Amino acid sequence: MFVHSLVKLTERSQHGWRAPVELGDAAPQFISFVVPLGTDNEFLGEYTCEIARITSHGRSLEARKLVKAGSDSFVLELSNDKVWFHVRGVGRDERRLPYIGKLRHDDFQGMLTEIEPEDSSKLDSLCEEQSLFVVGCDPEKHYQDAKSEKSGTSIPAQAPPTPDAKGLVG
Amino acid sequence: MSSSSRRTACRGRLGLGLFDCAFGEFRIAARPIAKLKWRLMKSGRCDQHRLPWNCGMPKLYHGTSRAHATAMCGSPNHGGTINVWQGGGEFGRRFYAQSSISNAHRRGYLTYGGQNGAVLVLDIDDVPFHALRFWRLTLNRAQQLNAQLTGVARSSFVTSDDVIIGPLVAFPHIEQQKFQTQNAQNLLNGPETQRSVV
Repeated sequence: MFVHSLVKLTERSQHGWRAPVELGDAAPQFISFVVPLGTDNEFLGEYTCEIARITSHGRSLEARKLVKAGSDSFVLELSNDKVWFHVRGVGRDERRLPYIGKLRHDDFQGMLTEIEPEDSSKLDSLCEEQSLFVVGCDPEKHYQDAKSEKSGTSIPAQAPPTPDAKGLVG
Repeated sequence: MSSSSRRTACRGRLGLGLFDCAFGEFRIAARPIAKLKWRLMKSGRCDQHRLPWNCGMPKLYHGTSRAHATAMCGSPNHGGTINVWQGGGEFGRRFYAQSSISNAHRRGYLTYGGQNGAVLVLDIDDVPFHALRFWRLTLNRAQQLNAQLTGVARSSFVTSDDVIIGPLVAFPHIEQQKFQTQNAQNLLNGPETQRSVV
């Protein structure tokens, strides 16, 4: 199972996750880190997490492991660094949400829980110093029916998805 | 003093960039910038990375497609082509940037694909940047505004301020900037802003 990068939103009274690639230009500024739960609704011991390295030829992907370390903490080990994540503190009704988009991936069968970096500036440091950023699961590579068709050449004056009841933008 | 007159006083006295963290909009006005920055960093409520203008030049990021980023970047001779009237986000319609480079990269990559995603980097001269008129939002105010903006209101909401600055409601550790006016657009596209694509 993978770490995923998804957007929380409410659509047609359904509350859940969708992939930014489905939203195109309307994707919000922040994209959440999300992990799927096992059949028993518990976290797995480890997840695959893809890291993108910025090179002069574009981006190259590397697979790493996000390992569970404690009841609600995870650690992503990089070559000479580590980044800690924990389960995001949200209301009980928001803690486990389904994927409500149209793309297909095995991990989307069950519920998904948001995790967040303990120190978000660490991710910026990685980007600036080592040209790395966390992708999670590359949609083009792993999601069936993923298309980047919304990456057109015009920026529509389009509103982002409807915010949910608690004012969190999806 | 009424809240509106206090806000006016705040803008008048400050006119300076400052991350407001957990403090109210009005308390900031009473403190000298350098002292407040020092206090925030010492208390651990703010760090260097959360202050995009900490080194003098505000450095902001916009995650988008490579085609958009390259077009907006423009050329040194002709300037940029950023159109602040396009785009949208948590504070309504207009052009958005943010303080987190990694988050901007994620947005570009995950929305437009591995080879099509890119980040437009805006390195803005601090003096003209701070001469813009700001509306700085606390987290509470940002959440309220985002919750208020539904439907048509979200696609039409603007204020007369050049820039609205506040935390990302979905992840308050990151700050976002919404550029709204011709003044702001002129600065982003002019020689006082270094634009690049990564």
